[in-house]
Amino acid sequence: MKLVLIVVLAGLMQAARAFAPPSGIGSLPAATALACGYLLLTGFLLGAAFKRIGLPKLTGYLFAGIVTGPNVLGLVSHEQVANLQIFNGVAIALIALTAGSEMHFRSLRPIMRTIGWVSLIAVTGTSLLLWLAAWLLRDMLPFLSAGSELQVVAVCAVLGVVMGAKSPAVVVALRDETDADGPMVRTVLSSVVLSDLVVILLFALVSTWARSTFGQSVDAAETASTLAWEILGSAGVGVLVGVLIALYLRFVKGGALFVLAVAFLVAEIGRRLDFDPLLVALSAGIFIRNATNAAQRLLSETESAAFPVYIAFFAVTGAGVHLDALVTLGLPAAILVALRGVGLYFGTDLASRVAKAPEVFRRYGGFGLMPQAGLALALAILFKKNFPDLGEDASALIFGIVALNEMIAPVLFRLALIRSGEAGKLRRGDAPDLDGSQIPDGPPPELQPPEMEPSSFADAPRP
Amino acid sequence: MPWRLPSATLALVVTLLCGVGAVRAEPDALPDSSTPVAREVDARGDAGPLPDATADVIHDTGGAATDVIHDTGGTPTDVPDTGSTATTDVPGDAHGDLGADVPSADATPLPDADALDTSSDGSDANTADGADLDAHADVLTPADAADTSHGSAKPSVPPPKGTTGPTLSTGDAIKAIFGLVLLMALAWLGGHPKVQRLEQKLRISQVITAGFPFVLIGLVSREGGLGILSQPVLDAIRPLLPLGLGWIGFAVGFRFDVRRLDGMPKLTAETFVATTALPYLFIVGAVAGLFYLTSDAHDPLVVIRDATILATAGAMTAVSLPRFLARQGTEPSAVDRITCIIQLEELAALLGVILIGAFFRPDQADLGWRLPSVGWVFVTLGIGTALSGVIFAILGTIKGQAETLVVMLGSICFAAGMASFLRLSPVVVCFIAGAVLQNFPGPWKAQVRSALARIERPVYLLFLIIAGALWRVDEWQGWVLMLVFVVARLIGRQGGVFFFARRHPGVLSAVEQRHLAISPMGALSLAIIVTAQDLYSGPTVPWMVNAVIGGAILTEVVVQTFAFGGERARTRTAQRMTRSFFPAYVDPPPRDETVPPPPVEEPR
Repeated sequence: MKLVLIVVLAGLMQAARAFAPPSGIGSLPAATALACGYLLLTGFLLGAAFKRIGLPKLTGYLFAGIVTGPNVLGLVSHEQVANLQIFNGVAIALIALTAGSEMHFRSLRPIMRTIGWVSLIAVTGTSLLLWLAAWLLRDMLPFLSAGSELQVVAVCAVLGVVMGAKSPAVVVALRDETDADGPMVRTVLSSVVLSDLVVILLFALVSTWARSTFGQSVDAAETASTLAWEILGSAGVGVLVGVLIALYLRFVKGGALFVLAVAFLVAEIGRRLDFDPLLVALSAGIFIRNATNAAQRLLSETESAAFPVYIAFFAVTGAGVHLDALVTLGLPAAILVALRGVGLYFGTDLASRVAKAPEVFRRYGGFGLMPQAGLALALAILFKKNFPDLGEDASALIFGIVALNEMIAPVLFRLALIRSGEAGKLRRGDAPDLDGSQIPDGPPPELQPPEMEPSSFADAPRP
Repeated sequence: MPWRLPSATLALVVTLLCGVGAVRAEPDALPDSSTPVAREVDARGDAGPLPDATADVIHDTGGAATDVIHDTGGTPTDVPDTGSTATTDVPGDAHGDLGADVPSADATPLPDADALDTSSDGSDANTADGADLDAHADVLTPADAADTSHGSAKPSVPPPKGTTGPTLSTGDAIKAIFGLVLLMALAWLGGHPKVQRLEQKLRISQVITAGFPFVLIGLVSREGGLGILSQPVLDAIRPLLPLGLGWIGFAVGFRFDVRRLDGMPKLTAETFVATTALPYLFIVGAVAGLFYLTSDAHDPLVVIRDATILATAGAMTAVSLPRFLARQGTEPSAVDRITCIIQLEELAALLGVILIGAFFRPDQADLGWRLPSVGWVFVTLGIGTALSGVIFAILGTIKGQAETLVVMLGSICFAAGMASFLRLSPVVVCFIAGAVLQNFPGPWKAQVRSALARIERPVYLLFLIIAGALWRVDEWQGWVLMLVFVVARLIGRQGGVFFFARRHPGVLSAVEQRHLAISPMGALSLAIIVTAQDLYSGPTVPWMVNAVIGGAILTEVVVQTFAFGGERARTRTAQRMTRSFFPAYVDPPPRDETVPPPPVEEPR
């Protein structure tokens, strides 16, 4: 039935497109509303269909965007996708707020050592590995052929950092979808958030160095002040935002609108003032969790409200995936994706051994570091702007890698959540065991028939 | 009960996002079809030296590797080229957005006639087989922009005063974003149950009275130098318009219960004909006459179109009227009759909008489908019905409130977007979808009704703000038209009631007569006129908007003075005045203060 509905919706969409003036879409505002509704419905239906066959709903949302987007069926055009990018900023801010409000420093203390080693070995190590791999694959990457050896090394370093970006959005969405809780998913979420901070920092540094190899004027003091403004300023504004949200939640009943409005403001105004919305929202969430008692309310309000935003976000992200990049740079992209996966998996394994992390994290934590989405795409765009001489292929390579990771990594991580036994824990009411090292045998029984899962991650009650 | 509105408020935010999203990549500098440049390009396909703002949004169809970065933290968008070697890079600011620092004309080769012709040629080819639509769908030419921004290729309204230009600086963008969020918060507050209760206590709960401050806020946001709803912002939030119209249409449709019409009180249909047909004819006659006398354009078709649109909007009664009559202790049979009349009015008005939309189509020169006018009637009905089938099927799969909200939001967005995309009325298409759903069985009805009820008022108030921003108060013709419209409507309704009372004495109670004769206008009237503004252009369209918005407010003043006067003295004054106009008017029987009014079940 769902597939029939998807086909009917596609037919209606195609009929509407047939009406469009041949030289362009009929009416951009109308087209935007049309695309928004279409992606919401198709993403919702495809997510449900994917759940029935045991795949993450999130992959369904992404797949809906990819298939209907400009690169495959073309039912949603580039302009429509661009107009709907607004969901990205808000969704990322919401997700960062959620992620931050779950980072309770006292509870994280037992796993801080693990997170530190994961950031060092798995994240930085994988970036180094990808740097090396990109350099070794330079003959397969035509955009590197014209540069000097130093420039090639520098660009490969930037590529390595960009490819190291993670996705807290995917981790949070999959965790909520599967009702997962436990040491593995908590450590993964914290690691992903912190490693993205590391990636942002590394990108700024490495990119500055690489630009200097191209003869671009680089002012170290200006770079430092920009970085300080972006990082420290974002953190400071984040604390202020956290205070505001906490006050609101304390004195006013309900708060979904307020939280969404704040996410919107953080995303839209933050970036205009050169703050990083991710950092602002993350700092706000961390402040609320560690300095106030409004964190649980924040989580419940956000969850009840974020469902449509998430669907739209992932569908729009999918629609923006450049599958065409895979045609030209498919082989090196596939090699780099494989190396990234291997590096993250074994890096996590090694870091877990060094940090004496729980067995469950050692075995499955690496899968949680693999998904990529918003940050990688944003860095790819910055990369393209910083290195215009490299042409389209360089950013196309990153888009190709993100596309592959978007399609594969959520499936792997969902499987890891099920295999680790942490999926469904929230619904069962099991107490999270941060020190636990027991791995249950196989998935929890209620995950075997997919219908037993909650209808959406927005419906899932949080503790 | 705690004040919790997560789902409803979320939908508001999503609509806002949808709208503001358009600011980012929607051509900030998209030339309004009303601008001279756009008109010139539209007419001749030869722009000549375009100003920077216009040139910036031209994704040069003659440029190779044309590359537009919609820098929003998302992905870049590549626009296919058609042949030349120039490269166009139109970045946003550091993060891309409302205040994008679009480079000036030096970054974008100005299109000449050839460049524009390229796309025209392409369009011909594509029209032939329709196979290559996508390649061109991504290219926006100035002519398209002009056509698409207002949905018509006709020469349109001169740019309004206060237009701040096509792009916003970062500071203005931040101000606009804050302002939009503030407006949204106000709309949410206005829809709050406590506020509604307060309005009821103060007897200002009629739609327009309660909503008038929001119309004013919209007006001041645009005209007051605040810069919140300036022209670029209004252009950017245009996706909200079909969504708001669609939501209103869907909500009205979802209240349309056919079974209620089966059990109509006696002579209700006749009452409806009398009280609707006469004002309709009066308004058509008066407005057509006025347009013919004052407007430069004497195109009789346009005059008839505008007059019928106004008459359709004017024939409506606010849906809140029965509720207030019930609260005042009016007899249930009278309340029931007025409710049925309002439903019939809604049905007739939407039928009228379908016919207007079909027989007075916007210029179809650049459209893909060419159908006879009657064909568009069937397309409208077919789309509404087909979408209702799809929504019905999807609603069968939902579990929980969150999924209901997603489906409702997606469905209305899709239906309204499709209607607007096909240049049909989103109100009508969504009304049909809602009405079909209402009259089919389904376990999800309570959830849908709850979602609609909770969000309807905030959406409506937001819609009023936008309507206020679209209101042109600086053209005297609009005010004259408003007076003519209100007077014609009142005389028409009074006449209708008079003739019916003469023909069927004793059928209508005094209260019914009074409230049918002096009835307030409702949300649907505004939705109809805003739809018209979205579909059509021309010098008379802003006057019509002025007539309906101002007329609704003026009517409300009349209603509050003569029909809703709670105090006996005011009622007597109203009766005296009404009797002086219409001698057939029957005074209500004196009310026995010792007998409490019968309990009235509040209509849905």
